[in-house]
Amino acid sequence: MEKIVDFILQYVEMDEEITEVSTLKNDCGFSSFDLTCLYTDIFTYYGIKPECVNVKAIKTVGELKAAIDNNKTKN
Amino acid sequence: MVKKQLSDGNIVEAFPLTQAQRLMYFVYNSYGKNPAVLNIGTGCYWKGAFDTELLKQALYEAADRCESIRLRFSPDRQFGLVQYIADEHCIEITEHDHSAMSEEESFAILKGWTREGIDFIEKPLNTIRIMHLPDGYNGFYTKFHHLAFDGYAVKMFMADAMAIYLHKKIGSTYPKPMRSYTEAMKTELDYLESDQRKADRAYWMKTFSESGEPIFNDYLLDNRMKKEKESNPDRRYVLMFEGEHPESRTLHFDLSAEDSAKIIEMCRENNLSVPCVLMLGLRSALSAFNDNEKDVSFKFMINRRGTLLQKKSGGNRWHFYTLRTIVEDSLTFEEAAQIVEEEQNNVFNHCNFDTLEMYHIKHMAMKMDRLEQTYDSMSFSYHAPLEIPFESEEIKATAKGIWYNNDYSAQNLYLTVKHRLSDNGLEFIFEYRISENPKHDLEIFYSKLRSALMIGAENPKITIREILEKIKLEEN
Repeated sequence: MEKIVDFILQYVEMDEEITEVSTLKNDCGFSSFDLTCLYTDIFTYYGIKPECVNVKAIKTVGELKAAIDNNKTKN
Repeated sequence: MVKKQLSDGNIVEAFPLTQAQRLMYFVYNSYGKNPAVLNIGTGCYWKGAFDTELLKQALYEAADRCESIRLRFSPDRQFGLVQYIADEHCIEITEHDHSAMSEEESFAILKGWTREGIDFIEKPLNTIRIMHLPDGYNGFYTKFHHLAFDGYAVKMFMADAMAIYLHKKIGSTYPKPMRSYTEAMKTELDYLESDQRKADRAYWMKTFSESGEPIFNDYLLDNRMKKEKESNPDRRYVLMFEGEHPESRTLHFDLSAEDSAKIIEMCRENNLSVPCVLMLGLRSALSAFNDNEKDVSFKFMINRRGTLLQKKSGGNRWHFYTLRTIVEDSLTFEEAAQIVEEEQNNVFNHCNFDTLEMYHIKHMAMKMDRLEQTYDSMSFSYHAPLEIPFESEEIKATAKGIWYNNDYSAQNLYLTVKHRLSDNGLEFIFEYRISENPKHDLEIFYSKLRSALMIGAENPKITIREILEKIKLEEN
C-alpha cells in the first residue's frame, strides 16, 4: 500500500490520508490522463501486462491494490 | 545540452527545443506568419477586497517560483533555435488604472497589448500587470510567450500567485512548491532516445496502416468535401491550411451553470469523462453537418500534464493528435461516450510521440503528398477546472478569467471549452480564421453541439440515431 501511495503522490498533492476506500477520481482528483499515466508507471514497475487488467473496473485505491496483487510478476 | 555563446558574448547551458515547442514553432512559421500568434494574453479579475501592494509582492514571488518564466531563446546553427534559463526573470510589474474608462475602451487596450509581438530572441518574454478595471474589478493581466507557457501553465501560475496573495492577506496555507522546468524538459529530450519512442512510432505506423482511410467532416454548410468529390469521387481529404491568412476572431457561447451542471452530473453518475462527452457533442455536430457520417475525426489537444513534475513545471507541453471514432448510430449516447474515451486513452498511451512525425507517418500511409491535406477540419481542447483560490465565496462569485484573443491563428478553427471561474459553467470559444467567413455556420454548429449534449445529459440511454434526428430538425 505504501508504494501505491508513493505512486499516487507523484501525481496529486493531497493533505487527506489516502486509504483503500479513497476513489482515484473523486477523492484523489485523478483525470483520465493522470490515470493512464499512473497505470503505465505501476504496471511497468510490477511487471504487469496491461491487457491482464480491466482498468475500467478500478475505482478505488483498494481495487488498484487488488489488481496489482493479482497480476504482478515482480517486486 | 550545448554550450551556447549569446550575442552579448555570455556563454550559457542551452538545450534544443522539445517536440512540443518544435510543433508550436513550426506551426507559427508555416501557418501563423505573425509574431502575435505566439502570445497568450489572459486576465484574472474580481470585485471586492483588493490589496495592490500585497498582490504585487505575491506576483513577484510566484514569478520567482516559476522557472519557465526565465526561459529564453537564441538562434542556433545546429538546432535552429535553442532554449536556456536566464538568471533573472527581469519582470517589472506595473500598475494600470482603467477604472474611469468604459469596459470597451479598457478591453481594447488589453487586447492591443496582447497583439503586440514579442521579440523573443535572447530577451525576457513575459509581462505581468496589475489592473484596476471599470465597474469595480481589480486583478492582474499576463502576457506569456507560447514557447515558454501553454494554457495549463498560465492557469497554474495564476493559481500559485493567488494562493500566495491569500497567504499574505488572510493567512491561508502557503502553496506547495512549483517544480523544475529544466528537469521536465530534460525528461522530454531523453524520450527522443528511448525505447518508448520506438514503441510509440511502431504503434502509429501500425494504426495508420491498418485503420483504413478516414474522411473529412466539414463545419461549413457549403461542404468542401462534397465539392472535392465532384472532381475526385474517391477523395476523402481536402486541402485546408493557408499560411497567408492568419487573421482570426472568436465566437463565444456560454452554457448556463444549470445546463453545465446537468452534463457534469450525468458524467459523474455514469462514470463518463466530461471532456469525452464534450467531444461526443462535437462529433455529433460534425456528423449532423455531414449527412450523419459515422466516421468522424478532429484534432484534439493533449496538455500531457500527469505527474506533479509535469503539472507544476510550466513550459509548453501541448501535443495535438487526431481523435477518430467510428460510431454506429444504434449505440446509446453513453456507449458512444465510452468509445470516445477508449480511443482517447489509446492516444494518451502514445501521446509523447512527436505530433509532426505522427502526421508525417499518417500522410505516408494515406499516400497524401502535402501536409496541408487533412481529414481533420478543426481542433478541440478542453481546459479542466483548476481551482484558483479567492478570499471568499462572495468574491469568487464575481471572478472572471479572460482570454484576450490575439486575433491571429495558425489554425482554421479551434474550439476551446473551459469552465467559468465564477460558477463552473462551460464556455465554448470558437477561434476562427476570418478568411473562411464561418460565423453564421458556427452559430448553427454550436446550436447542434449544445443540443446533442443536452439531449444526452437528459437521457444517456438515447441512441445516436435519435439524437441526430432531433438535431437535424433544427433549422440550418
